[in-house]
Amino acid sequence: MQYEKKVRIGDGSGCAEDRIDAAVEMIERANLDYMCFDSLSENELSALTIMKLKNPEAKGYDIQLEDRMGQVLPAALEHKVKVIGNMGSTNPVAAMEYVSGLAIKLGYKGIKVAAVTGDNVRDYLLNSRDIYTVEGHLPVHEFGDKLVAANAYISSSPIVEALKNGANVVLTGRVGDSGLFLAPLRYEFGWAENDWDNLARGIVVGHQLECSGQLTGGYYADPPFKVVENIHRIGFPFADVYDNGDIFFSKTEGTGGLVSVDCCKEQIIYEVHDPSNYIHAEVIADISGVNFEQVAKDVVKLTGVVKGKPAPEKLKVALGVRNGYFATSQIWYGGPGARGRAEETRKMLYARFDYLGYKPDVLSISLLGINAMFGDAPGVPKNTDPWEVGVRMAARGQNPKELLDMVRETSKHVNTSSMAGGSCAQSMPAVREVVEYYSVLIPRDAINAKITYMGV
Amino acid sequence: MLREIAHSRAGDKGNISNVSVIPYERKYYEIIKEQVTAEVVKDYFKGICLGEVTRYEWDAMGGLNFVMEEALDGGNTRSLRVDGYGKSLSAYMLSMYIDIPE
Repeated sequence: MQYEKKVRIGDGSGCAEDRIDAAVEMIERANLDYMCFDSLSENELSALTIMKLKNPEAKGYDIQLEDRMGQVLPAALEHKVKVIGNMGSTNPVAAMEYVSGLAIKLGYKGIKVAAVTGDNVRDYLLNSRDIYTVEGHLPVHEFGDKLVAANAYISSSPIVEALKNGANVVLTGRVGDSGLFLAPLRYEFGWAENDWDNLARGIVVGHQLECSGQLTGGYYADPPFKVVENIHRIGFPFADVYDNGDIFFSKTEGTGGLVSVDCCKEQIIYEVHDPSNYIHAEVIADISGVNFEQVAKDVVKLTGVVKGKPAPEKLKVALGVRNGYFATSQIWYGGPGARGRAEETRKMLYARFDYLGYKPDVLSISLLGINAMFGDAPGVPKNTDPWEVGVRMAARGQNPKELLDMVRETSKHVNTSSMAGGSCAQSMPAVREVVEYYSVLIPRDAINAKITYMGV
Repeated sequence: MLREIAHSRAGDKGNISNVSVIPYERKYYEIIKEQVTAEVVKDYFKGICLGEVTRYEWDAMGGLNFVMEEALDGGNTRSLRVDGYGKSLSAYMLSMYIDIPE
């Protein structure tokens, strides 16, 4: 194989509470150049914002950052692996300060940590008058104080700049997930901002890696058709990207899991809608022509055609909007006739809530083991009679006291005042706040990304 | 059952679920493509998916992607369902029966 340069990028997490040992093991053994961490789900920014509203002392960065970086940073600095992650969440600068302090404690010098900010467009949206949600066409400025989070999926350009300026660690808030992985490729290979085909290939690398174990046998195993060995210590994935255009996916040697063509096919379609127009801040990728080829055990080559089209004019913003509370509770029945007792309890609860005058916004009481996952959709077997059936109450409403009372009615009160042998399956409280997701599109120039550095 | 010849993965974006159907062997791709249409999937997901179903075809590698609107009870942040993300919809998809010609 003819090439002059190869870059190896690993993925250290696919969500905020992902395994840490798999990331550390890869840094120590896989000879990486970069490790990128995606740990910011749609809900994460809202949850952290509410935490901050309730406790002004809260840091605002990823709840796992201290634990994760405590284990990852020593290995990354020792093995000279650069770290990029969106675990700065709502406060990348505080995250940068924490990680810089950690580097000092570990005795390192000459380390540069960068924080990328500017994704928070809440003020911009509240001052707007003509921006409407994609879902339901609601005017965004009318959300007012209920709008707790508004973060744009900004491009990877600020990360590229931070790398050019010598950063060893780059911490961001909301950036396109794949962009975290595209950034080091743009920096290493010098891809221009209009090198659409290469940018699209970089997006494919990011898309495949960003969900950690989902490329290496996780979210995949389904015996006896799909068997995955040693899934308890599945290896996280990495990609080798060459300057001749070759791209390979693999994982840490000696770990559990597998990297196969079938794993790669499942992940490439995951969360993609129209494959000819897969929209990112940097490029619109056409990935409909991809294919994969197994070239060695746990090594898959990207084949087929990936094309890029000019970047979209607008950027997507994920919103979190407060709207009341959610509660859930369960009670279980077992043995012969369990389904019958569960069904009677379900009827009893509807009657009881009606009798008490409860008026949640929405209420659903379903039977776990019978119809709680797929309802009565055509493919669901009817008239089954399992030995274990749960009754699950779920409700949303504006009155948390009423919801808590409904939880009590579905747990403790059922014990004493309904069918025989009911066992409540959870402890209270089971009421939490609802932060609804919406998205909007905004012009690119509404973003003022900023990079802050801290040298150690 | 589809599960014997194909695999699947479900993903969520807001209130939209996308569920793939990927045959293990290429020879089943055309058969699945002919029988598992957007209309068939919409009927099979009655009560789960309340909106439109669009099918995207990945002919190069052999895979179908069904994008189902209004399929997640408002999306994970609003849903009252046990499986707010719709992660299990892949298993439901694979429970479908199709005819395999001799």
